[in-house]
Amino acid sequence: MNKWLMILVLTVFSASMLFSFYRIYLIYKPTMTTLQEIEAYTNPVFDDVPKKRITLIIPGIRQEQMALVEKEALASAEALHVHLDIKRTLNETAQELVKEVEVAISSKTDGIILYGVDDLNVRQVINKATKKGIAVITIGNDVPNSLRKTYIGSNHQFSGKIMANTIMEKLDHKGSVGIIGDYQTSFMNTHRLLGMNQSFQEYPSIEVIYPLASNQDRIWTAPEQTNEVLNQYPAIDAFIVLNGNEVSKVVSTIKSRVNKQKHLIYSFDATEEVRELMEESEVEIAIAHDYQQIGAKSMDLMTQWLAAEELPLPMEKYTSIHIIDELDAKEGVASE
Amino acid sequence: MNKIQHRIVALSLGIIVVMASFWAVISYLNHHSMKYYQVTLERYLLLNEISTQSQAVLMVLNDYKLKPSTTRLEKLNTEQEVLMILNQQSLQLKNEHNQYLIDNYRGIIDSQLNTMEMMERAVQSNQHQLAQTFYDESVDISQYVNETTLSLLKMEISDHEQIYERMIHLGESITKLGVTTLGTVFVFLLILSYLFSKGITKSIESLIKGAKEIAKGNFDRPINVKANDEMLFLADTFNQMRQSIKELIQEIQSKAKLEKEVKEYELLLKDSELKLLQSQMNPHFLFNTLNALSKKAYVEGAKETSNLMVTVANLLRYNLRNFDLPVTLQEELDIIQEYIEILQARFPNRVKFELSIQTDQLDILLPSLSIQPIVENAFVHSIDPSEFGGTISINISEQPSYIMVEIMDDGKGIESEKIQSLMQFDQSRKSHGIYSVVKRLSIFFGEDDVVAITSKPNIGTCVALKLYKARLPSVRGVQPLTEG
Repeated sequence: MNKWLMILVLTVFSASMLFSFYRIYLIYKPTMTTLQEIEAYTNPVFDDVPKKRITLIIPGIRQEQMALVEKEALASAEALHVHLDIKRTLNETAQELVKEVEVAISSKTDGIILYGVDDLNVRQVINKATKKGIAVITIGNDVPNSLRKTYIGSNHQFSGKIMANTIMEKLDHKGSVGIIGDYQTSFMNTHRLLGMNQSFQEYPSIEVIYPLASNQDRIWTAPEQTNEVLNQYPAIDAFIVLNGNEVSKVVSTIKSRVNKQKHLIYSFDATEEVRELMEESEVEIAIAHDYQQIGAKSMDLMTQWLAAEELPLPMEKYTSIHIIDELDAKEGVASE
Repeated sequence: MNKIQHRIVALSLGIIVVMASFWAVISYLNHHSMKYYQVTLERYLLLNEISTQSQAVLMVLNDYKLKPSTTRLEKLNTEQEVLMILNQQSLQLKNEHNQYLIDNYRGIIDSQLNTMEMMERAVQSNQHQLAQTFYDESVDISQYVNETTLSLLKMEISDHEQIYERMIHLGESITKLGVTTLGTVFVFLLILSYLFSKGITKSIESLIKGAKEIAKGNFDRPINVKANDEMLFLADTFNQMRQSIKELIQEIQSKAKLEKEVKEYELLLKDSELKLLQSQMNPHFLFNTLNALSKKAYVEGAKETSNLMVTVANLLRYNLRNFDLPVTLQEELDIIQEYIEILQARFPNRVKFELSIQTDQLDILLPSLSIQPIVENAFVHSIDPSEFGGTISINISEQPSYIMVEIMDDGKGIESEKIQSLMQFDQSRKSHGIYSVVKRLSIFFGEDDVVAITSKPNIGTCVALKLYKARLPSVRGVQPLTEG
C-alpha cells in the first residue's frame, strides 16, 4: 500500500511539474514575441529613398474643422508618398505659430503648410523659411504680403459678400446687424467684413454694429460682445458670428436675457454644433467651407512644388464654399 | 535489490533536474529581457546625451563669443565634434515608426551646428552684432533640440508602454510561477521524505518487534518487512537466525526428553536389582539349610525327601547364579520341570503338568527366570484356589520370526482390566512379576510385542511369550540392555 501511495505522490508531483513547465511555456511564448517586437523597434530600419517631409501647422482650437484638414492631408500624404508631420499650436496666436515654423525650419523640413495668422512676425518667419529654400503654403487663413508660395482655402471676401446678400434678402434691405468675433486681427475675418461691407454699402438702410473686439491688449469674448450689442441695440435684427465655434455661446447669451425677442443668427462656419442649432431653428444661415478640399489640395500643390512639376504656383487657390440655410434642404453652392 | 542510497540519489537528482531546468528557463527569459531593457535604455541615454551636449556646447560657444581665443575655439570645436558624432549615432535610433521624426531631429541638431559655425565666422570677422544674432538663434535651436528630445522620449516610452506593461506582467507571472513551483517542490519533498523515512522506520520497527519476540522466546512469528532494500535483506537474515535458533532449541528439548526416559529406565532397573538383593539373602540361607536337611534326610533313610530337597536347592542355585545372564530355553524349561516337581511334592494330585515342544531350537537365548514367574503366577492364582487342582501346560511352537512359548492353565481366568494393569508399571504394587518379565523381554529383544495374555472366565488363561529368533545365533555372554 505504501508503494502505491509513493507512486501516487510521485505521479501527482510529476504532473504538477509538467503543469509548471506548461505554464512556463505559456509565459515563454508571449515573452519571446514581445522581445521580438522590441528587437524590431530597436533595429535601425528606414526607407532607402527618404520621403519628402512636410510639416502641417494647425491651431488646436479649431479642432473640428482642422480634424477634417488633417485627415485628408494624411490620406493625401499616404497616396503621394510623402511624410507629413502635424504640429498643433495651443491657441491661434502668432507667437506659437512663429515658434513652430522656426522649429520646422531648423529641422530642415521640405515644406510647411500652415493655418496662417496675419502678423508681422509670421510674415517674417515665412520669409525666412522661403529664403532657406523651404516652401510655405498657407491654408484657411492667408498671410498676405509674405513670401508664401500660395494660399489654399475659401475666398473670405467673396463669402462675406454672399453672407451680406443673403442677410439683406432676409431683412428686406433694411435693419441692423451686429458683428460678433475677432474682426480686427484676423486676416480671414477682416476680409469677410470687407466683402460684407462692399454689399452693405449699396443699401444705407442697413446698419452694421461693431462691438469692441479683441486686440493685442485685451480679448473680448463672444458673450461679452453679444451682451454689449444687445444692451445698446435691443431691437437688433441679426447677429453675424465670424467664428463658428462661438455660435452656441451667442445663442445661449441671447436666451439668457429677459427680452425674448427673436434675433436672426448667421454663422461663417458650419460646424456640427451650428448644424444642430440650425435644426433647432436657432441659426438661420451658415457658410460651410470645404476643409477636406483644403487638406487634399494643399498636399497636392506642395508635392507638385517639391517635385517642380507646376511652377510657379498660382497666388491663391480658392476652395468651394456652401450656404446652408435653416431648412438644410436648399444647399446652394457658390464658388469663384 | 533497490538500495536506499539509490533511492535517495534518484530523488535528489529528480528534484535537482526539475529545479535546474526551471532555473535555466527563467534565467534564459530574464537574460533576454535584460538584453532588451538594456537596448531600450541605451536609446534613452543617447537621446539624453544629445540633449545635454546640445546645451553644453552653448556654454562653450558663449565663452568663445565673449572672449575669442584659440584654446576656446579648440574647445568649442571639440564640443561641436562630440555633438556631431552624437548626431551621427542618432541614426541608429531610426525605425519605421520614427524615422522622419529622427530626420527632423537630426536636421535641428544640424541647424544648431550650422548656426554655431556662422557665429564663429561672425566672431572671427568681428561682426559682433551678427554673432549675437547667431548666438541667440543657436540658443533657440538648442531649445528646439531639447523639446524634440522630449517628444522623442515621450514617443519611445508611449511606444514601449504596452511592451513594458507586458514585460512587467510576464515578470510577475514568472515570479508567481517560481514561488508556486518552489512551494510545490517543497511540499512534495516533505511528503516524499516523510513516506521514505516512514518506509525505513517501519521496516526497522518490525525488525525491533521481531527481535523483542525472539527475546521473549517466541520463535514462531516470522518477521514481515514490506520493502525491497537492505531492510529486506536484514529481515531475511533475521528470519534465518530465528529459524536456526528455533531448531536448535527443539533439538535440545528432544535430547532432554530422551535423557529423562533413560533416567526412568535406570530407576526401574535399580529398583529390581534392589529387590533381587533382598531376595538373595533368603535363598542363600535356604540353599545351605536345604543341603544340610537333604543330607540329614538321606542319612535318616528318607531318600525321597532328600531328592526333593536337592531339587529345591537346584532351583535356588539357578535363581542365584543366572539372574543377570541370558539362558537357553532348554535351561529355563529344566528349571520349570524342577519347580513343577516341587509343587507336585507339595500338593500331591493337585497339579498336572504338560509340556509340548514343536521346535528343535531350544538353544534360543532369553533372560533367566522369564517363564518361571508366569508358571508360578498360574499356580498361585489359578490352580491353588481351585478345589480340584488343575493343569498347567506349556506349549512351545515355532513361528517364522520367533519361538512362541504359551503357558496355559485351566483356572477361573483373569478380568481383562486386570490384564491391562498387569502389563503397566505401578509403584504401589508389591510385586511386578508380569511387568518385570515384559520389560526385561522387550529390552532384551528390542521389540515391544513380546507378551500377549488371553483369558476366558472358568476356562483358563494363556500367556504367550515371543522369543525372537534374531537372538538365536548369539552365544552366551551377550549383555542384555539393562546392564548398560
